[in-house]
Amino acid sequence: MKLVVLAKPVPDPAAAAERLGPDDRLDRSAAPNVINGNDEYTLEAALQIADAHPGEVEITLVAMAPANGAETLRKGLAMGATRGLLITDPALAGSDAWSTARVLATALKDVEYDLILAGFDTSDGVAGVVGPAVATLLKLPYLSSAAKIEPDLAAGTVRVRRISPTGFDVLEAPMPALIVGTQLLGTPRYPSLKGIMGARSKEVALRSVTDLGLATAGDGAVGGAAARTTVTAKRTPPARGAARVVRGPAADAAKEIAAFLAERRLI
Amino acid sequence: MAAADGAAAGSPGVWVVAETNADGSLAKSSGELATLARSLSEAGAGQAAGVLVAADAGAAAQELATYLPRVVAISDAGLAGHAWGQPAAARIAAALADEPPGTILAGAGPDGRDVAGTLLAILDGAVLVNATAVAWADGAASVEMGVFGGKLITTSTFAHAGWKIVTVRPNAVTASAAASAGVVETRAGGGEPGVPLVKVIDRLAESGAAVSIDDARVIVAGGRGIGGPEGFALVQDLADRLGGAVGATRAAVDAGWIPYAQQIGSAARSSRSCRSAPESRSGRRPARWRMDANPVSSGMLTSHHNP
Ligand SMILES: Cc1cc2nc3c(=O)[nH]c(=O)nc-3n(C[C@H](O)[C@H](O)[C@H](O)COP(=O)(O)OP(=O)(O)OC[C@H]3O[C@@H](n4cnc5c(N)ncnc54)[C@H](O)[C@@H]3O)c2cc1C
Ligand SMILES: Nc1ncnc2c1ncn2[C@@H]1O[C@H](COP(=O)(O)O)[C@@H](O)[C@H]1O
Repeated sequence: MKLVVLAKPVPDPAAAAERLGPDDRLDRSAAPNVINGNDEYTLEAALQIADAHPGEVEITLVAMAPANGAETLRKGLAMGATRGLLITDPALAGSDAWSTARVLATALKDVEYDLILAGFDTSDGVAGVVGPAVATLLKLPYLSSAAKIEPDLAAGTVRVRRISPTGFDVLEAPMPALIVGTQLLGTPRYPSLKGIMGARSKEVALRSVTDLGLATAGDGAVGGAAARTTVTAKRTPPARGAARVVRGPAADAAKEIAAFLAERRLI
Repeated sequence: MAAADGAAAGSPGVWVVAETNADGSLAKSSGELATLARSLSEAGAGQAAGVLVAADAGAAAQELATYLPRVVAISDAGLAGHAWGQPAAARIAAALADEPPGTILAGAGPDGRDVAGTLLAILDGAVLVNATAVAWADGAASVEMGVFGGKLITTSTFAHAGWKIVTVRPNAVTASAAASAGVVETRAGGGEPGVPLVKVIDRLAESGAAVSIDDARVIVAGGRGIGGPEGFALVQDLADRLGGAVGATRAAVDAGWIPYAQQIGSAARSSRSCRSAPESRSGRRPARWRMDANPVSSGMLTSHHNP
């Protein structure tokens, strides 16, 4: 079985150094890059499928990112993915969500897969639309908000537990399919020392826009110059009010809180 | 794709993609989107209209028409047993095929994103995401969003002649009905998704999710300090009295005290997480209170409020 995990390199949110550069684009040099958190959950799900079917599963990590994205993908290879594919091209800097979906979908036409896994959203762009857009461009059924992924190789189908407002829906579709995963898929594993050593010799294939047969100007163009959205202004929000902690015997504390809420017309 | 034949089809409008609750009623967030669409229409965005796709769109479409002059209702019984996003988006795209490309407002929750992403690809459109405020300026939507976990607020606009999609966070505006109800146009299907449909083979309920934290203006959240599952009865009581929803921290959810649907700030709910709480101009962010009944602070109530 062949699995693809869409893994976006993002500035490490733990560094809390995310910022826009003078061109109003994400300053990708401000913080070290990591694989987007939600994409690590889907990678973990893919690795668990591989663990359950030893020797039968290949996992390809696919990213569209600057050239140093290859280093970021190494962590995923160290966790156990088989290989990487990086679409990198200076013309892609500044891509919007539409371009990103178009580029990823085009690159995936040359990749064999039974399942494509995407994250619920990213920690930088937070759009949550690239998964469904890629599925649509590839004409794949789309199973979203997955808390559990169960492929049935013999039947050629996949079942997903989708988080609903009241619990879970159990979804089923034929493979190939695209699944969007969530944190409930399970905590991502740490790479083992052996995994880290092994990752060095794993392949990360590189593709440019030209390799994909896409254009960066004219009709249907992708990349920064063709971005369909633009930032017109930015400002820092007013500082958050500090949390107010009320201490004291319950009856007094309750009165104080009620007064506080009433004063703000919240009750 | 979806060529603009504006002259023949009238002026571009602003379209609301409406969602329904499990009982078939209109989702609260859709009333908000409809109210927003009306205000954009008044500011020059063209006619405000809604499109609602459901197994039985009837009642919710009537409800939507209390907010909007025009509602396209598409009932498709086949949707009952299938995941909604892809077939709904295909039907919406078909309904919009004769319209000049305008602006589409969708929810920023899981279902809204499913449809927005699918429409983005079908309509060859552009998208601005997680809007906390939307205005009309220089002939296009001007969208405010909090980025980097709310550390920065950006204003963005479109540079695109085709369909322009905006996903809007809950509580960005307060829903209010129009002076008079609009017209509902009923349509049957149209627009095949062109992909195998995803079947819903079971629905598993988890108790305790009476009021959804998606839509709540008030969330009373408990964490590990609440001491155990029984502590949430206290949280529930307060939430009931405030007309709010019960939320929980990841630790409480991981401990199995309360269903995942109640978790604030989780991966599947980043659109309403604490980290990226909407920083709306109007200061209408949901209020949150954290109740802490751990033995150390027993008898205390901790109030945490994001003003
Ligand atoms: C602060 C900020 C705000 C932005 N706002 C917008 C906006 O409103 N509209 C817009 O069109 N663009 C926007 N962008 C640009 C957008 O982030 C990028 O185009 C990005 O590549 C796709 O959006 P996302 O990261 O939000 O993806 P999401 O839709 O959140 O991604 C979902 C999943 O798709 C996969 N995926 C997404 N991108 C990649 C990738 N490059 N490589 C591999 N897998 C990937 C991952 O599995 C990911 O978990 C914004 C960027 C920033 C930094
Ligand atoms: N040089 C590049 N090659 C390929 N993709 C890139 C490059 N630079 C940025 N991207 C991607 O384009 C999108 C927008 O990036 P940015 O403008 O840096 O926010 C993200 O998906 C990036 O991963």
